[in-house]
Amino acid sequence: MSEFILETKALNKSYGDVKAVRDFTVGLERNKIYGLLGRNGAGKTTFLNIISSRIFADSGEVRLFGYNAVENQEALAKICYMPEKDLFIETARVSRILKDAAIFYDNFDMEYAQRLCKKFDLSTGKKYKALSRGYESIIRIVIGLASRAPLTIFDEPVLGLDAAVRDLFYRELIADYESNPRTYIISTHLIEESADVFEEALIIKDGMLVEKLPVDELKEMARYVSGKASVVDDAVSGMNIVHSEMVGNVKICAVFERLTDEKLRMLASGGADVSPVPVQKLFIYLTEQNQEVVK
Amino acid sequence: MSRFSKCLSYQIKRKVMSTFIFLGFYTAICAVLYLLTLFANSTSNGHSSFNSSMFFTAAIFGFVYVIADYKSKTNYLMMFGNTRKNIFLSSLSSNIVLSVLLMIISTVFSIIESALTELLYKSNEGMNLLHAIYPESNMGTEMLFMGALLILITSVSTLYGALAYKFGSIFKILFWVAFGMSFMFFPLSPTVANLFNAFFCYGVPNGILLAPINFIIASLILYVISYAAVLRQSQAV
Repeated sequence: MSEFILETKALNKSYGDVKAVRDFTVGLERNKIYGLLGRNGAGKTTFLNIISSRIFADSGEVRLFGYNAVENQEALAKICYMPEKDLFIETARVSRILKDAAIFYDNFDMEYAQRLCKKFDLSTGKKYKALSRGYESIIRIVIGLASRAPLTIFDEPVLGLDAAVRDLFYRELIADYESNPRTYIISTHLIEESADVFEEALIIKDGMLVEKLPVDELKEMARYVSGKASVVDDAVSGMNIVHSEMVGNVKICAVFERLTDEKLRMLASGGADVSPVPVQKLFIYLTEQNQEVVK
Repeated sequence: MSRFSKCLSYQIKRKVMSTFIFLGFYTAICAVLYLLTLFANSTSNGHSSFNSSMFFTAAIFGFVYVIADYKSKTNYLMMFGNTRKNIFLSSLSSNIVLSVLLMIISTVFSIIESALTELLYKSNEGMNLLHAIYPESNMGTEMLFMGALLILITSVSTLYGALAYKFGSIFKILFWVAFGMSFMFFPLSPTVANLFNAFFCYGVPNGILLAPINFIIASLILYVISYAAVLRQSQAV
């Protein structure tokens, strides 16, 4: 039996001339939180829609919990995918939507959902169409967390939420994950604040998977090397440079590769400064349009 | 409980609830109109009567409701991890339940209406269109006819919903333009009239029993076409 709960092989999906997903092969393990990171139009939502059978890939294979995922009820019953777009019935009240979710998700915890509604200050008597953008996101969060689905997917879950509510979401996610481990895929633009939640990051660019790495490793691999241009050029020669810029007389290069302690010492002794790259910056460098794919 | 059963139960609940809301409004309107005709009867020497035409209204309700509900219901159920097959089959089954429910309501309404007409106007002259078209009809055969016709009507709505979901506003515009134009051309065409008569078994002995067979066959064909349209359809938002 495969160690992965979700496996995709060479997925491709085009819309006319635009290749939204290209040769996407990945395996996701049980009980991990994955961050799906990519710029607008990188193919994140298309990928999520394919694995949840909302749309069909042009070619390739998706296996969920060992099943072929395409229109497979056994597989789809184990997923809770809360999309960014509005798919709720507008005239339904929040309480009705929660009851419907409880019908369809076998492990749905209604008590927990009610507690979350109170914590997030979501009135269950309100109609969906009366909710603000932030509360629309909150109802998705409540259903996703309370579904206890073995694979829970959030597409941009914190859209329209203020910093305090976003923080509450991350804390609830971690707390519930610790007591009810399962696999999460969270697609988001707010990388810096959510990076600590993810165990692994999947970085997508132009429909391709650019990187799949544990977040800690990602942070360790990314370093700024700065100093005099000649010193920096010598120091980073042969390295995987993902970004470089001049600030006055100082040249700053962002390198992305595993650097041994010895290499780091050499860089420092050569006169270059070495410092960590914030995850958000690294994400920007890895997905820059003029940046070559680093695979 | 299987996913199909969950989808079916969800859809039946929604449809039954909406039908009773419709029925509530309709009954209220009919009651007001009844009172008006009673008032007119008591203040004039003429004779008034009232026919609610419940079946026609129910048919329009069934047609419009299935269309209006199609997209939001499909997306909602898909979001909760249901396959297109389960959503479609549960829609089909719940449409049959809706048709039977509307047929029963229409019959009950008709019985109450006859009783009221007899009681209030001392007359049983209420017009029965089905009886006029099919003279050999009785309540049982009329119920069968109405049920089958409602199943056909909801199957047309399902096909409309499926194609509108697939092709969007282009289909809707083309459909309604064609529908409007059909009123100009069809009455002029003897072929269409003959087809119409044949389909409804008009003038055929036991036509009221034979027409439902045509309705069910036609609805089966429409459902098969709808299913073909639904099966590989990407979610539309």
